Amino acid sequence: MAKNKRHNRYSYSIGFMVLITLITIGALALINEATEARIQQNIEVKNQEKVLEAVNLLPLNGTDQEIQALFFSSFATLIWNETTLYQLDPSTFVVPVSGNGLWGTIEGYLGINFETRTVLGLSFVSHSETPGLGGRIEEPEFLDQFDTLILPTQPDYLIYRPKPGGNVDAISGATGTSNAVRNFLNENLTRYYDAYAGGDLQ
Amino acid sequence: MKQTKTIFLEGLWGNNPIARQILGICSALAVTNLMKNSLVMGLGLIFVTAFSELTVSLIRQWTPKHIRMMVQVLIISAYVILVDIFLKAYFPEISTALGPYVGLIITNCIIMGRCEAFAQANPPHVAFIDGIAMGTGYTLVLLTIAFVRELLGFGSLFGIQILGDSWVSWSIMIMPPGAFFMLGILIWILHSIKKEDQEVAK
Repeated sequence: MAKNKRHNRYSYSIGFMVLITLITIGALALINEATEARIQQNIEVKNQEKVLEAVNLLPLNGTDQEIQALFFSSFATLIWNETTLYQLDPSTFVVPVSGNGLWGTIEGYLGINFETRTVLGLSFVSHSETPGLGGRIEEPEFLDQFDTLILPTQPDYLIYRPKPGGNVDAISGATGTSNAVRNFLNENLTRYYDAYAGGDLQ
Repeated sequence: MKQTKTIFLEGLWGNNPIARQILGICSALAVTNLMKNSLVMGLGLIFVTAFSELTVSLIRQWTPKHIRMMVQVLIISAYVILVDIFLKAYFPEISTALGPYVGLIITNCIIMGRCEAFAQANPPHVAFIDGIAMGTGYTLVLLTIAFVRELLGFGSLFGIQILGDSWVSWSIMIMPPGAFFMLGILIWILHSIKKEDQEVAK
């Protein structure tokens, strides 16, 4: 092994490394190219699931095709301020919500009927909160509180109990995340409410 | 044929990567709370170890000695990225469940260790078999730990409920301490059995 003197020359080592890097990168690039469409499709379906979840329409154990069909038959899309909103009926929307969590950006969807001032559901697409603490925002115990939650007539819309007027429970042991979620949801709600009241979401 | 048998015995028992070489402990602690995740992790590792060893062995005559570690890491990462892409495209749910652990196969000492200790000095087909044997040894230990943890922690196996509603789940089993206890006990048992073997042989 490596008896040959040329194996120890720098030029040979560098050449060898460059060659083998090119080969592996080439192979991976090809495979990436071949599966790109499928991965995008998976991400898209996942996203559609989350939108459906925000209005509690997500079927149990639905196949990808069923979910896509249901998604396209349920919603009309609406672009407002470069954000895509999903409209279920004239006053019911699924709006993307996002903001800073304790550790990173949290993104999700909120289903809301602006006329009856009712939140229909909440779902999170991505977050980087601490597993087992702040990470519990994606568990049913927290999310189910937002199924048919009637909001007060003016901000702040969401208030944690036991504060006066409280309508939601925070996660104990994860005050930072809970407060962050409340704050960005309130900001988002105010923004969308103003837009709706101003007639921008028709 | 005889050599194949010897290699397999080494990988599964005599030189088992987790119980004997105490390698790959990090992932063994992390993914063993569900049998499904352990199985996928194990299959991924078998694939990566076998093909990395094969490739390292194939090019060992041309690899300059002083950059062999770099070459090995490059090859291992290429295969791990391959597994990651494959899971994302065809098994998105498992990919989400394993999260960062797929990428962390790269740092699994078993692969690097076997490439360096075995593949550098053996012909390709033997190295390939060694990779499968070592990966299988790792998988079996993972499944054993996961079996106990999932059964006691969730009352289920591969997600199918085995123990009835009266079963009170041991939540410590699905948390990190459960993994430490199980791994410790398992290595202890395996070592005591092995010691008896040696004494009988004498």
